[in-house]
Amino acid sequence: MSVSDLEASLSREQKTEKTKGLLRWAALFLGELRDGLTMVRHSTRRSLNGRQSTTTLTCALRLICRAPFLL
Amino acid sequence: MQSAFLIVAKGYTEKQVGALFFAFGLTQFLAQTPAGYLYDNTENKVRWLSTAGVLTTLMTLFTALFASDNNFMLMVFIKALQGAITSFIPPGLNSITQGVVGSVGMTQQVAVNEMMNHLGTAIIVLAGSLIAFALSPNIGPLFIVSPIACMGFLFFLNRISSDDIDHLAARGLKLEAHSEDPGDLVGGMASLSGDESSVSPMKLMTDPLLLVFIVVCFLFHTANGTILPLVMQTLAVGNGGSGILMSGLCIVIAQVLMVASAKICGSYSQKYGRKYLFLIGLGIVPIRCAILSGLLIWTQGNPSVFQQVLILSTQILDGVGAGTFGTMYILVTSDISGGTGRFGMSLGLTTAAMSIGGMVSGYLGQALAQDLGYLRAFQILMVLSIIPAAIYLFFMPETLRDPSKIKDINTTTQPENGELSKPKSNYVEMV
Repeated sequence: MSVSDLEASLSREQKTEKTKGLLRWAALFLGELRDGLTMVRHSTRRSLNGRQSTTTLTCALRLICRAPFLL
Repeated sequence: MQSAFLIVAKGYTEKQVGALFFAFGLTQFLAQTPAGYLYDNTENKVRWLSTAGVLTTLMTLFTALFASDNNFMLMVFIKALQGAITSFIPPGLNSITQGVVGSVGMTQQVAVNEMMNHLGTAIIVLAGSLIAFALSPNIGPLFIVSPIACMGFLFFLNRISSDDIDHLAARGLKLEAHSEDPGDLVGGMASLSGDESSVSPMKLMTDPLLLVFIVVCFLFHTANGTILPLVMQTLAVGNGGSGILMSGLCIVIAQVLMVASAKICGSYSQKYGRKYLFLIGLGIVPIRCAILSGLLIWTQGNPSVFQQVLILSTQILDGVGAGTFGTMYILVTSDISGGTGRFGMSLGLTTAAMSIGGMVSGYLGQALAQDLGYLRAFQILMVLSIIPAAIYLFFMPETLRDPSKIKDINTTTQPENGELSKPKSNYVEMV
């Protein structure tokens, strides 16, 4: 491998390291966008599941889930 | 927080909120695979991911500002749209990651990404819970967190230039990013393609290995997703300001453990392979259910403060299980999609299986608890959670390419023949 090839390789590696750092910080803030929804889902389940829900959709899902235990 | 906000501040009923988030979950499930397919076929990955982040935030703000009893159908539409848009986030981040570091660097980088992700969530949930506790029941101002996080996300993401992403590596068609050599991809499904073109979506979706893994993902989330809400209900937490604080504490404990689990996955999965670490993640769930069943028998439905702390401490196991799974499923998907050119789509399929598993889980757990009681619910979930572990143990091979053929670049920095040596690097390469 020639010196110029190695220099190009070094430069590419430095660039990759920098991009990896940017990805890491983007991931930190992404938590709210992606996992912030964990809070949403969690509290939804809590409020939904604590009581009987009577919408058609939820009734249908409940029925599907219960079916194996009714048989 | 959104559902609590909608019920308390906007006067929505539980069933209206249920319909909103059902629409959200359904479109999220449906859009995961097409989102992954799109990332496989676009070179504007950063732009798509940025747009998804901005739109998600705008819709959260729209919900906070404009939700009312008079525009319920509009809100259903908004939530359905938001569900579809958020599905562009996981395959986007992971496609970009694989495009930057290649398959060989995924272990380290995915672990770091996941650690930071959980850390960010833990910080925000902790701060959010304290603010909500102070402001309860008027928690509207809490939504300001979303645009702040979005700005931080956009600032760092948009400093990544498109040239830094090797789009062939992002799809899993090359082992190492920015390399001329596609590398030995035989460990994945390279035999399906045979060249540098990607396999057809139908061929991918009928691959037995991927199908088995999708079933594992679905069953894991079906069993695991409902345990936390059941624990919370068992302790009767979730009411008033202290309930918000306790809920937040539960999530924070789990998230902190997830940071540690992601770190362990990054350090050891490249060394010892994926299978045993993944089995630890899967095996934690039945253990957790068994402990919870034991504690419920002990407390006889009336736990003391000490017993409540013991029940809450099972969240530590949730952190280990979900943390390990969250990191390892990306790595295993990357492994098995190697050579197909369909990493994004494969990740979309596995994430969709997890979404639908999570949705079913909530209803399954509640149906069990209501019909059979909490003790029996935990016992049934324990049995259910053994199934994905058993399937993985007997039907999934070790997906990491032969670990004996991997060398760490750190060990290969000795100068040869007077030439300059490469600097130390954290990632590993195939030999």
